[in-house]
Amino acid sequence: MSTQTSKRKPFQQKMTPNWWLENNAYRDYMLRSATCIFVILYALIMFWGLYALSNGETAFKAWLAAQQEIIFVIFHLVTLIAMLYHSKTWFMLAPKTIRIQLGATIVEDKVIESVMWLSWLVCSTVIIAILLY
Amino acid sequence: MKKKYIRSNEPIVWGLFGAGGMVAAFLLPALILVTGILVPLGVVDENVLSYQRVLAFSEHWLGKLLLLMTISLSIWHGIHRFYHGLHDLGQHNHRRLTFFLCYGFALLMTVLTALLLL
Repeated sequence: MSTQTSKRKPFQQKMTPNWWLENNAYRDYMLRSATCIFVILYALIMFWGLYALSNGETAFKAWLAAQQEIIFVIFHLVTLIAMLYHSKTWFMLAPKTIRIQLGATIVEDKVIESVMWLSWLVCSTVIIAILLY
Repeated sequence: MKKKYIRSNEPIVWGLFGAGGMVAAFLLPALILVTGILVPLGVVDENVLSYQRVLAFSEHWLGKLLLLMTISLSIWHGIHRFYHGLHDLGQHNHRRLTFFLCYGFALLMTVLTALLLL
């Protein structure tokens, strides 16, 4: 970084607070970004549960009881939708970061995306099965 | 004059963001469904998240690793999007301070989670 003050006057693009409502692609981009709030909050709820767990059975039961509050149930429902949207956009991006070449052909985007969804299905089923049984 | 190169921190924070994105995409939907909806609403047995069961999970080395990864990487992922989201919303003031507050928070939560699991 230079400490010298620049003499140039760069053009500064004007930015309205609601620029992202101008078209659907911008809106979807901001929706995807907004999922971060829910990821962080859910991680904090898990951290809170872990903290309660370390404080013994009474504290952990209190944490579990708090999850039954309507506000938490609503939060988890919204977070579930936000996470599914995150998964969808994440798998759409996967072909851009993973490029597999087989001989002379490059594996199609659709194939990579489908493999991601299939892995997601397996992963989710295994987690639910382990938790419930 | 010898040019001084400043190395970007982006590979590190992006790496953690990417790993957290994987956790959030593959693990969180099922976890949220069970811990936040099915158990609290009584759709499944409450003992799914009984103290003894969760404690046993958190005492196993693999359980520790999974809990640390899930909590910590989710925060690294979310905070990266939050930090860049501020820029997208035109909040460019105190960028360095914001950087340290955001990623400092993620680092702090990682350390605290690790300490709880030790």
